[in-house]
Amino acid sequence: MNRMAFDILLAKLLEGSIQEDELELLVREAAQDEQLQMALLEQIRIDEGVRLLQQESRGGPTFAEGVAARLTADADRFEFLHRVLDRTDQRTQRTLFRRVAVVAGLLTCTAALLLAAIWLNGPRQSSTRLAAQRIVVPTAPPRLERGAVAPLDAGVATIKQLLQVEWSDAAEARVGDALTTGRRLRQRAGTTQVQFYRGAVVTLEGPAELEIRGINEAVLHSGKAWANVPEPAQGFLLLTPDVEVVDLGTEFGVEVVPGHRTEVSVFSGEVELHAPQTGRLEQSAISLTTGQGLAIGHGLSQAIAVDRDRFGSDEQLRQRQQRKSLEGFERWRQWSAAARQDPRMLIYYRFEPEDENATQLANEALDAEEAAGYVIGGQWTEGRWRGKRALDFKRPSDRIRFHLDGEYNAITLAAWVRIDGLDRPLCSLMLTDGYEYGEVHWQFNDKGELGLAIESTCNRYSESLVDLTDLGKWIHVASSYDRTTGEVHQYFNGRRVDSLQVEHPVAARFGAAEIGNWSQPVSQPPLQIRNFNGRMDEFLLYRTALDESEIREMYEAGKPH
Amino acid sequence: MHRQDEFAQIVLAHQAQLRMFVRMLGVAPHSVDDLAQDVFVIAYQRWDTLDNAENAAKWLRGIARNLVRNELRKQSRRRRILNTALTESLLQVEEPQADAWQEDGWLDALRACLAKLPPQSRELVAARYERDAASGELAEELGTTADAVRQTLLRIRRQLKTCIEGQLGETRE
Repeated sequence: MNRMAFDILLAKLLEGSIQEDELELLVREAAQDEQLQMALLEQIRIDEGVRLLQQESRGGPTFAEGVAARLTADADRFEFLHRVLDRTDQRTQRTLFRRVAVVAGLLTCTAALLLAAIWLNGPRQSSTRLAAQRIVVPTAPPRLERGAVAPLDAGVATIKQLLQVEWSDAAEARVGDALTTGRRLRQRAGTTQVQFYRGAVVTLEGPAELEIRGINEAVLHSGKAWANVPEPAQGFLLLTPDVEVVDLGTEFGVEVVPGHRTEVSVFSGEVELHAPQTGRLEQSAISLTTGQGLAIGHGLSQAIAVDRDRFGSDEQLRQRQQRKSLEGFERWRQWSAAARQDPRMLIYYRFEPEDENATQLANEALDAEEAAGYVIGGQWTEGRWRGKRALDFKRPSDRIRFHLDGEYNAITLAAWVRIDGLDRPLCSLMLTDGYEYGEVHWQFNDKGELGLAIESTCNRYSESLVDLTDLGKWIHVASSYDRTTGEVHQYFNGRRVDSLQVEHPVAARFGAAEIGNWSQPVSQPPLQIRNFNGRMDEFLLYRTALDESEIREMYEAGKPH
Repeated sequence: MHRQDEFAQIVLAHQAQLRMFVRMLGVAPHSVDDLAQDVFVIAYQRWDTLDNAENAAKWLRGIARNLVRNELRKQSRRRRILNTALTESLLQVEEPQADAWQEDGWLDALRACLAKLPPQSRELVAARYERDAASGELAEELGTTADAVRQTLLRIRRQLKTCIEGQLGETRE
């Protein structure tokens, strides 16, 4: 083909009158000859340049207005665009427009500002932080009260794990706590794992704020989290200021930088993204699958690389938890060794028998020559940490018997227990046989109130400390009595929860007594059953009224998490 | 600078070159603006991935290439490109590092050169581009053949190219 023939085809191409076979010929020729290729590009460029200058409708501002108009288009408009697109297109193409559709709903204000900026070209002070304020937090439904007839569970989720968590406010949460709708977890640091009753597990890492919204729904207001959603929890909904994530059975990570953006990374499975508060219509959803990530902010979205290592994993958590458990166990061991040296200690059962078949539980207080414990029934099991032993009390026959002589002007009772049920009107922690003048009874009632009774002096119950949702958690309880001041104090997890001044203090006595049960002196008729349902892995009795700081120290040294 | 302002400036600064670039990837003349607007919408969405506004032109061209590549996968009825083979070959063209037409003054130079054209050429250009008249139509009016009109237009465009190079050279000196 000579140059003139090529030029004619080229000119036909530019004016749009080229035939299909001519075009193919042109392309073939250009591909073989670099000069023709250059000429082709030159001619197209000049042609487009002249068109831009000669066609009034194609001025720069008009074009920019068109761009702004696209950014203002609402979701419907983009949905329309999406519809008219070829349905046989590659998924990527559809996804692209789906993204546009999703962000379009957020764009109205942004695009208006853009348009204004194009025309006025002046700074716009009202920024685009609109997206961040889109979530309107509905008032939480009224909390369900525990009824007198049948207990109701208002919880929708529970704390599964905590690792080195520093809370941002006074509302601390503990492992096993039941979380109700509306509950906010605000942490400055650490890792909190929340398990929803439907099965979804959300793990907060570092500074973060999570609001519980229901059995399968939460709001991540800020910070980083990853979620694992098993099959029964499919449809788990995680809301953020910028985007709503519907989980279709998967593992994904989310990071919210308030007022800036939200990043969603899918590690496995599939999630659906929706613009906030648009009703989560199926047709406007963005689908993200394994290995896909999207950042959404200011109404815009952009693909991001998924980095699984930016988020923690169950395996990591397990290892950290194990390390922490070892550290906790070790911390307690050190405290325990020092505490044994305290001459005020009367009885110390550490529940660490050398032989679990032996029936005797050594009193490990410094000068203890008496008051060994005798284990009757019960099952040895795991205590607060992996490797720590505990005795499980279940049957009405399970108990530890001991005998302690003497009269005491002051006492402190303390124990670490895991209550598995409050299924009797009274549940024994430590009760002297019978109940005679000066004898000590220490127990929970079925309302979860901790009671210290010294016959003829006091019979005092605290506020309710344990309810059904607290069952199965390790707790620290302590009660102190001082005859000289008449003061009675009760403590729960290192915190003083009850105080009383008695009018006629007497000396406290023990004699024959039981941990976890109650017996009658020989030859007396049988008593109502008060057996303890749960585990105990440490029991302490002092001949002094420990003060609050000492109780707190004991709690801090021995707390399981 | 506020993002909207910055983006507006980017649109205004790059729209002409980008539209020419889009056309040079084989996009049909009447679809050039449509596709170029798509490029900016996507650019706005992915604004955060632009590390430096100075790289905007190259970045925009990258988005344009991807969009045009997507066109290849569409059914012909929906397509905004003229021909698969043409676009495929144009997508393969290596971009020169710095090309005069990508410079800010290029369009101004073209405008100046158009003004310098002899009156007859200017009239032909106006007829062809303002009215979007086909060569056959113009040939009838001028009493010549369509191919002759095409040859003339090609020659005028070559003149313009030479003129622009001269203009840009002068401003550089």
